[in-house]
Amino acid sequence: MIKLDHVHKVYKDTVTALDDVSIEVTKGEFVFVVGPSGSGKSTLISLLIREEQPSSGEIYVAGKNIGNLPNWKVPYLRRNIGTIFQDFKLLPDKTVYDNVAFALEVIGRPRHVIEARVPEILELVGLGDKLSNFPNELSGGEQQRVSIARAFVSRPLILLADEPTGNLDPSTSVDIMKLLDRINRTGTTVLMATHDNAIVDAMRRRVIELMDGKVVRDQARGVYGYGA
Amino acid sequence: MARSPRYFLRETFQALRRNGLVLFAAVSTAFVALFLLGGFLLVRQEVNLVVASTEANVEVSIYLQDTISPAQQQNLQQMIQRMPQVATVGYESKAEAYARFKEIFANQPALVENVSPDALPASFRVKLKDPQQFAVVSQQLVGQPGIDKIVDNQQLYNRLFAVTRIFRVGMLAVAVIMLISAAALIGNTVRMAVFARRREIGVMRLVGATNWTIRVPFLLEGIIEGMLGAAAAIAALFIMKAWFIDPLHNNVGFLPLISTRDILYTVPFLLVASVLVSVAASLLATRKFLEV
Repeated sequence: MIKLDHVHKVYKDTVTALDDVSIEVTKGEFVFVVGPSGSGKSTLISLLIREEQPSSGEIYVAGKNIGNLPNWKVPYLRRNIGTIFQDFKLLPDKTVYDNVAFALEVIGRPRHVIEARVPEILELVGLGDKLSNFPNELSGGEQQRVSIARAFVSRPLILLADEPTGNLDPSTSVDIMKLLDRINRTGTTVLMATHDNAIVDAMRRRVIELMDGKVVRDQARGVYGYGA
Repeated sequence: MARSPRYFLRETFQALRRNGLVLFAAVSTAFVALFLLGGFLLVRQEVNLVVASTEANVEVSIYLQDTISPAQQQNLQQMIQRMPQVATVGYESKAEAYARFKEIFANQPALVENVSPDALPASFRVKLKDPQQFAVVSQQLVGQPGIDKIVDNQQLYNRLFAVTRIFRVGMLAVAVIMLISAAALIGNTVRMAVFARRREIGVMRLVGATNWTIRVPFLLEGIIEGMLGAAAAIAALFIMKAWFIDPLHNNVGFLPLISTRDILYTVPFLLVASVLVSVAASLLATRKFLEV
């Protein structure tokens, strides 16, 4: 589903963000990417949605080499990838319903599809009773649920999560992880960058550890720290 | 690929509402630019009309002395007719000249009253095959008995055209400069709208909206601004005609004047110019923000 083949990413010819990274993630896997700030986790996600291009090496997403994808096809790549962030990236002047509907609207889904899918997905993430609330009326955990609903409403093959629990307290984080786990069980590949060691240790999923842009560990059913 | 038109309209009008003053600046500049462009087209049309009417009219007037004898007059007419450069010759008697004079100055009765029917000279009105041949014709006629004065109307019109040419070129130059500033201002409002919506644009790119989906509301915004300017310019041209051109019909009845049809003829030019300018401005303004 995702494959990186000897990927290097160098910013401005001097800063090496990723150094010879080769990873393969199969369909339906749940993968944590861990490592300290600046280890290259976010760069990895930027490369997967082709916000950035690798300096060298090949990246395959859903069987396609996205390095030679023409620019106009990039939006269609992104329709297969849901993305969630630490800061939620919700639109403050739109309601919960409209925030999620917006994602379908701008990729041209017909209205009857939007009207059917949006309440359904919001029910799934546990916000069925907050459709007409605005983001500032919600807790952090609820806001992240909205952003997950938005990322997942178009049923992408892959869900990328960049520090999704970074702004949340531990018990809310656990709820978010349960939600991501449920999404993973529908067959969606989930790749989550985090440095939340409690979550990684509790989930016991595959862990890829980055350090200064290099893969220093790739372990099935791993924990956050060294060893195991 | 069909996006709902409701989405585009909503986004466009939200953007238009957001920056009223900047919008006003952009629309009014577009208005001035397109008004001048329309003015240029109309002046050009007016010159064309005058050219057409003079070509249909007399090019050379040969005024006769009152003392001319019928034999001299006949002699003279035959002589002019025989000239190879001459296309047609017509005779206008003193009475006909007075009738025409009354007609031209029908709105100035005081002037008409002060001129006796006797005061205007009879003339031969000559149309040349080639207006440039005036000197040749004139040379042959000078000194012939009974001729008072030979007037080359073409020269008069040439001078008029020289003046209007400067006017036209100046108007076109100012119109072009104004169109460029209109484009800059429209581009600026679009850029502000893009900036105001940068979060939305970020989300749209994230969820895989195509660049055209993102761009269309901004393009529509620019086009609407340009079209508002064009509509105002067209209205202003009509008002100009009603207030300043139409009264001239009474004062300078001998000149053909532009009509409503001529203004309608400029409408497609102004609309096309406004759309081209605003599309170019909006595309430039959105290009930078939409790099993948």
